[in-house]
Amino acid sequence: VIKAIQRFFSARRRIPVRTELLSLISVGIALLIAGALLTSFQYWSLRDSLRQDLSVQAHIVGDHVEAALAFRDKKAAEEILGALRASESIAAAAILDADGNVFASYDRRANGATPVPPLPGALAEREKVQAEHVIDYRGTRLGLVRLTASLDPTYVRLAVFVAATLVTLAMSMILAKLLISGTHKAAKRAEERLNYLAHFDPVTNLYNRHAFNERLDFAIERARRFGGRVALLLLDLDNFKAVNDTLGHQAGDALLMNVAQRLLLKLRRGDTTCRLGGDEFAVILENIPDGHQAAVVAKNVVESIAAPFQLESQEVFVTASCGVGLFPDHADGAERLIRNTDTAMYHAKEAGKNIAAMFRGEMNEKANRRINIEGGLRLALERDELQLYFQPKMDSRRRRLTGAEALLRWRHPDHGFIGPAEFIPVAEDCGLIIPIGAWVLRAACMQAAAWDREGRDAIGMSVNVSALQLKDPKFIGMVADALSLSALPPHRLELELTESMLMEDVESNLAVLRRLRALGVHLSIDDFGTGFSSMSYLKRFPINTLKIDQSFVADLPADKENAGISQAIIALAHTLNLKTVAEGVETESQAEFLASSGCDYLQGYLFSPALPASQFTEWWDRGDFLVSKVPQPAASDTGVAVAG
Amino acid sequence: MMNSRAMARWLALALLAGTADGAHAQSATEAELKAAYLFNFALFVEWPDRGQPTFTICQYGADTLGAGAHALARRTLHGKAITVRKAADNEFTGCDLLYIASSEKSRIRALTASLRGMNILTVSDAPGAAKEGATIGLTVEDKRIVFEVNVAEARKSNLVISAKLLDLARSVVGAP
Repeated sequence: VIKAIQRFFSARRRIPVRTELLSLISVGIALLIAGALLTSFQYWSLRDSLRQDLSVQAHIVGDHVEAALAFRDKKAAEEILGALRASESIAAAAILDADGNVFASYDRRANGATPVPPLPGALAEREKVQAEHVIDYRGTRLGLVRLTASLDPTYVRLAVFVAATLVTLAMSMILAKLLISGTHKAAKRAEERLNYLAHFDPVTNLYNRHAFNERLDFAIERARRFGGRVALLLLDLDNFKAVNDTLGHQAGDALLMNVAQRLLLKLRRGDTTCRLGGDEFAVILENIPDGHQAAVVAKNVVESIAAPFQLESQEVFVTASCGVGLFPDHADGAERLIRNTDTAMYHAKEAGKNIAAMFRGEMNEKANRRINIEGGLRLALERDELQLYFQPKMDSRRRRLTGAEALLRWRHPDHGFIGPAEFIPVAEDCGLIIPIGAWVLRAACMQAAAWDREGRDAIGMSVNVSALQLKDPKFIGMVADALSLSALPPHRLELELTESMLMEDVESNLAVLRRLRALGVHLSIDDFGTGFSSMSYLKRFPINTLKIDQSFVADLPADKENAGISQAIIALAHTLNLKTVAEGVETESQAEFLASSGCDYLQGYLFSPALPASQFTEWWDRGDFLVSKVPQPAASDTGVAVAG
Repeated sequence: MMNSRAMARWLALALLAGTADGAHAQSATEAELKAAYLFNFALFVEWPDRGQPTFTICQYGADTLGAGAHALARRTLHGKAITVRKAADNEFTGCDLLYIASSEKSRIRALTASLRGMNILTVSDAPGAAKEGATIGLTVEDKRIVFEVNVAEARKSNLVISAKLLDLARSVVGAP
């Protein structure tokens, strides 16, 4: 097969040479035909004009010689003929009397002096042109003038013409050859360029997606026919977008180029490396003995990419997640192999990135479950399968209930309870997060309002907001609708946003937050301290509350670092005039430490897990959390001294 | 009756004998040559149209044309038949060409003066005839016939003589 392809390509290369020669030959033939036509036209027109000249001359001679002929004045007649010497082409002339006898003659060769043998027949027909004129004076026929012109001068002129034509023809051929080969070279270059563009990625010089598909089909076809195993590696850079966004596209391209080089270094000559687009790469390994070998290559590749890249003066760190699929082990065709390897790659990403994952059958089950979730989620809203749970938020000093965080739960008819960590990303992927988010907002506000109507203490209601919701231009309208529908005073609603989603597009987020604040809604930053918030932005965001992430609350107060961090967050919040909430409070000592450090609100299992509304009201009615176990707060409410 | 082609042949032979080759001079008489010349003169002269059906050549004095006169009478000129007749004094009406014999040399001056305005071409073989008043004078020089033309006389007789004829004349008299 390869030989056939090589033959095909070499044949293709030979064709242009042949076509070039053919075009040259056809140009030459065309020019020759044109030259021949021009020459014969020239010959006939020269001959014709000579004949016409001769005819005119015969007329003139005849006119002049009339009297001389009538009076038989031979001397006068010869004098008249002698004047023909001026005309170069006239070789001979004769005047015949009425009986056809030569009366006077002229021969150019004789120099007019001595008579020469009679002319007719002296020149071959091809070499002469004759014109005759009957001398007829006033109705009396006196005789005949016969002029004979040699074609020799015509042939000389014709020869000059032919020579000039040939020279022109030769020059035209040279010009044509230059033009043809020039055009040909340009066409060949264009063809090569098109071929390159069709099969290669111009950034990395690797094969492109198109070539990848061809190569994979080819490899699988070969493995199918001759046996053997094909391994497919799909790589996705984990944080390429960040590099592109912070360092610019040029740096992004340079990084892709460096990644491509490292890939090539780690692979064998026969392996095919492709860039599928964006930050996706693919490697086709042929004749791989077993899955283990493929896994080793994948591991090497992932490790080689994890080493720092030097881009100009900066060190850049990227990692890659790699999926590995095998033919025929994991798929019976190229399309299936790509899909399964892609699934493996997503597993690698979910498993923490910077690793290679070999495809396993159950991965598809997981993928199928995801598809199930997506389908079920579409129905969940209609079937009322979604439910809000509420976790209490306590005042840290008086241990009074001050608010509740609404948390979404989904009871799937087949899979039972599905955690938000599993279905929220799916909802975000398929866009269902917008209607679900709107439902959560509305349901939370209604619940808070319902509690109000039961005559309970007014408590705050916190609702988590997804990044996609914040980007939705209708989001502010949805918030306003939820508030007006429930008649909940706006300051009782608190929207919880994450650090990372605020940092994505600071300026537009800032505008949205300001409008939300203008509605009267409170805003808090969830999981504070886990992202990379800019302090200057923090100052500009119109937020009310910082939520200390539960990872900083764990092991308090024994963990000195966590103690320091949480105290620092609290101090920062108070400096910026913000309230603080600690999440994941599980023990009394944690609660005590946080309260004494000045944390305003506490949330966690110490008080209650998230509960359905009915159980929440029961818990609320029991009021056992009111038992105060907290020591009187210190006079200084920052509590920094305690941490020290 | 000879056909025209045979006639032309005869005339040509006669002419050839007189001009080109002395050896043949004897075969044609001087009179016949002169008659042929008369025809040629008539050919290169234009007359005002008189509407006559024939071209009339008149002989004055002795008959010096002889057989030549018969030859002339058989030809046509400008589509007209040629008649040849003798003309005595006061019998010139109807003549287109008057041939004055050399015997009448002394009368040429008076005769031509009287014929002015009558559109008659006067030709004579008397020596110096052109100077005497004849329009064309014929002479034999070195066995060749040469002629002189008096263009002043021609004008007086309303005749136009072709320049081609003048080119061949030995001399032209009366040119302005």
